[in-house]
Amino acid sequence: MKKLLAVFLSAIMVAAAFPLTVFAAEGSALLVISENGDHTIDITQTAPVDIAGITGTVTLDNAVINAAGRSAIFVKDNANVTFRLVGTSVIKGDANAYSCGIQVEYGSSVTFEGEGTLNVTGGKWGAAIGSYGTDINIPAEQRVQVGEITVNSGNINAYAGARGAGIGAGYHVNGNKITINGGTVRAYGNELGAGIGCGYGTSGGAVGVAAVGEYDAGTIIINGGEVYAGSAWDQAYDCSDLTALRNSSTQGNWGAGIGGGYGASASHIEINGGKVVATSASGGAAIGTGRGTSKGAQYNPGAYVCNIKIGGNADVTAVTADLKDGDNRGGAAIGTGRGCHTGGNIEITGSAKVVAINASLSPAIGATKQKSPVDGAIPVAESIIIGDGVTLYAVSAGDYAVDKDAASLGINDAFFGSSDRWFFNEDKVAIADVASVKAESTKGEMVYTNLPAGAVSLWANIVSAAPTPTPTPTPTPTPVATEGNLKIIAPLAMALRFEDGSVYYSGDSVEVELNKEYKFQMCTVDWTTRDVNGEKKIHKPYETFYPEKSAWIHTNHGIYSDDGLGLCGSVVYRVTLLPDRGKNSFDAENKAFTLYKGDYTLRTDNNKCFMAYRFYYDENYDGNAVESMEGRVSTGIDRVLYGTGSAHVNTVEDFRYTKPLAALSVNLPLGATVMAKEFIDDVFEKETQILITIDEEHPDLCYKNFYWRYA
Amino acid sequence: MKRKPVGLLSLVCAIIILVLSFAGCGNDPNVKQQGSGAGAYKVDISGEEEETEREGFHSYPSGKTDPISLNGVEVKVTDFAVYGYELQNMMAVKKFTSPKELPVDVLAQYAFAHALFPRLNEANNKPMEYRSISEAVLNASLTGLFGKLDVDLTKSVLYQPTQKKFEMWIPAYGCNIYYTIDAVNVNGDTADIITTYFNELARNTMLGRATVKVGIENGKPVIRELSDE
Repeated sequence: MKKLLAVFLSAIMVAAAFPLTVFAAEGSALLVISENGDHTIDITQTAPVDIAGITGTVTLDNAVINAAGRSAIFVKDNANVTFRLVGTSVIKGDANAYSCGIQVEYGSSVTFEGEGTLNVTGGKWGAAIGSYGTDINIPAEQRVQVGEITVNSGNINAYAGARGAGIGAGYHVNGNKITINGGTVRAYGNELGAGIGCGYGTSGGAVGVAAVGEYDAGTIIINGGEVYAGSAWDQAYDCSDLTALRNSSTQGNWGAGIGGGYGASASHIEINGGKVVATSASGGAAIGTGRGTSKGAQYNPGAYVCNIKIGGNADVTAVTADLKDGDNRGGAAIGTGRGCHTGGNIEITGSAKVVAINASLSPAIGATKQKSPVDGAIPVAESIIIGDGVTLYAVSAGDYAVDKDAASLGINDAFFGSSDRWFFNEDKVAIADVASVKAESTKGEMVYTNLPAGAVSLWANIVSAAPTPTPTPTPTPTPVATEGNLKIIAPLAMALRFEDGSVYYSGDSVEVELNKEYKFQMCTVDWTTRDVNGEKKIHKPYETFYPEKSAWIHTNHGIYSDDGLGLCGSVVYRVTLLPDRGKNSFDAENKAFTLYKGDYTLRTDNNKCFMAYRFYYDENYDGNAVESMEGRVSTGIDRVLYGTGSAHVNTVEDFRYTKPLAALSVNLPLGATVMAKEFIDDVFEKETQILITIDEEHPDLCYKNFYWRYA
Repeated sequence: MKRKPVGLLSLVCAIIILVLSFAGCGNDPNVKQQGSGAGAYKVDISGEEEETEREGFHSYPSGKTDPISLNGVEVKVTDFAVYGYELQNMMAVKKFTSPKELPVDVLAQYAFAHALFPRLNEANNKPMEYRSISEAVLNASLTGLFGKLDVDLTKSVLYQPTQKKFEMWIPAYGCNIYYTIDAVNVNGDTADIITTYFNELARNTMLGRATVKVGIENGKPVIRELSDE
């Protein structure tokens, strides 16, 4: 009897040593494939499969595996497996357990081939194909990692589990390498995971622990095939149906279509061929990084990267949309997601055809224009290269189609004039039905069809310059000058800023092309530009040394710079130098100067290019004569010249050294808004904003009186 | 030596193994449970919902709703609170009883900027952006803000008659707006949105106040009046 009991209990022990999931499977047991060679998983195998350490082929022939408590198929122990797809196989992880459909352990690799279809779904925190989740508090050497994944052919529909990528890594896991050479791949993230790349990275722990940017999508290379990738699938939208995307109501789209999940970088995305359609919304990029954060302490600018290359004959469509409700927007179509510090490096070359569309608060290509979590500035791309030969349809609602502020920018815009170089969309209506919109333009010709009602769009098409026939050289009897020496005359304390960012002051001269139209605007310089501690910022040596401040202070002249010194106007002026002789003219209606050979002098000091504001005290007000206040009042904007927004031109410290004036005349550019402050006995009294406009009652005058009214 | 009871030992071992097997089910050692243990890393995505960023920092009286319904038309209160700031501080217009009182250059510049930016404080902080738009776009923008106005915008200095378009260097309007919506008073077919603006998030110093009267025209809310009280 004792022996019988011992045998019975031993049997229980042996059975208990097997994972319970084996028993959960109906009529089948865990299949372990551990020998090299060819293997088949068919409909008879309903329990999970481990593929351990082999190099070989595993045919998925109409296999159906719904795993419980683990991944349906687990490729491990440095296995190198080619899955051959036959028929339609359905592989699912467990939505209630940390698992994948097909889990690929780090060190192992899988390749998909064949003509069949694979419908694969991830489990909790897991990718459909790749890894499931881990936690940053787990020692690094013990954390889950993901192996390499390659698709050569077949039809793969990969649906992530919560917080996982469709294909790639799971929650809190870095991506490894994903290569798609062929086949038709539809991959969708879930709950902040990317479609292809990595899952939900982080909402922001702390720098060095789990900060935004420290998770990465790894290397993603697409060389061919058809790839449809979206950042969410549980809203059941179609990649071509932005209405459905926009109407989604969850945060599930915060990851990228291809790239990083929420809070994750995209260090290497390379699309060399194939047809690629990527979508996202709510702040994630369609191709690039996931949505970042607004919190600087949770963002690691040193780790956050975004590198995207599109080339070859790739046919890429990238679309981001605003979420229907709330302020969930700002992801670039190609670039970075909302809440980042950079737009990364984007290169589009070869004969690629790229359609990039985003809804708002970001260019279609470049950096989100949601302010940086690091310094509050508006992020710009580090570099954007769009090569000659690229066909580009880029459109953005509310911002430039291409991030023109990129630190480094290379675009062959030979087919674009300066005015439409930065093509943009002025559409305040969300782009809701992209699929039906077909629009393109070349310089000067726009064609729209099926544009959404209410939308005002401007699309552009960069095409490679058509080969220009080599002109037959004709002898030129005398050389013709192609440049002229433009001499600048500006009103007192004003400057001219040209479209390329150059700033010129009265007395400057610059070589410019003849017959070319230059746009410029008028600026008022910062009168109190200082030279402190040897830091030279001064244009003209008209400053006075103030010993108590140990600084040279400009008393009249100063400089203008885009960094916040001075003030600029909104009116667009033009100047063209002609090689012929004639009389210089100024077309006041068009605000255009035409200068002729012999006198290339641009006189902006007497052509209504500014308004001289005269600040007075109203002697008729309240019966007081201005004389009674003489010596006690100061006014005008020499004390405060305040640009709108954040453009404080001067600081309070500067004004202590400015001589108070009872009346003051200041030359100001039209369209600028200044804040003028009134002081009596050096005590601030009141302030008011002034938008500098032409005096409608006296449109021919270049000056305007402004009266303070003291009680 | 006394013999050990083999059966009892086997039973104990089997129970232990069984318990361990069940304990591991559905739990992975690589996955730390949320909230488990001191200092556990907690995933919290709700914080991101608090982002307001360049849209402006505002507070709103409890019990109020945004948007409100005015004669069945949705009026987003914060939009008009921001419009009040824009008009007073960016356009230097403190008050008007009809938009027709505004100079054409002010109307053109304001409508131009709004044609590109739903909120001007979302414009780039950097100056010098050259933009051009058509008269139709500018008129549509103006109508969207104020309703239909009988004003010839081509008389604005922003108009370029040769190319028949409007062009402008976009000013550096980008900024944060700190404001509190004090009240929303609906009076028949109009609503007064009363807002106080501050210089800083802490709301220590007041920048100004605005009452924007909103009306409905062609089924859309528009600005009817502005006052600085």
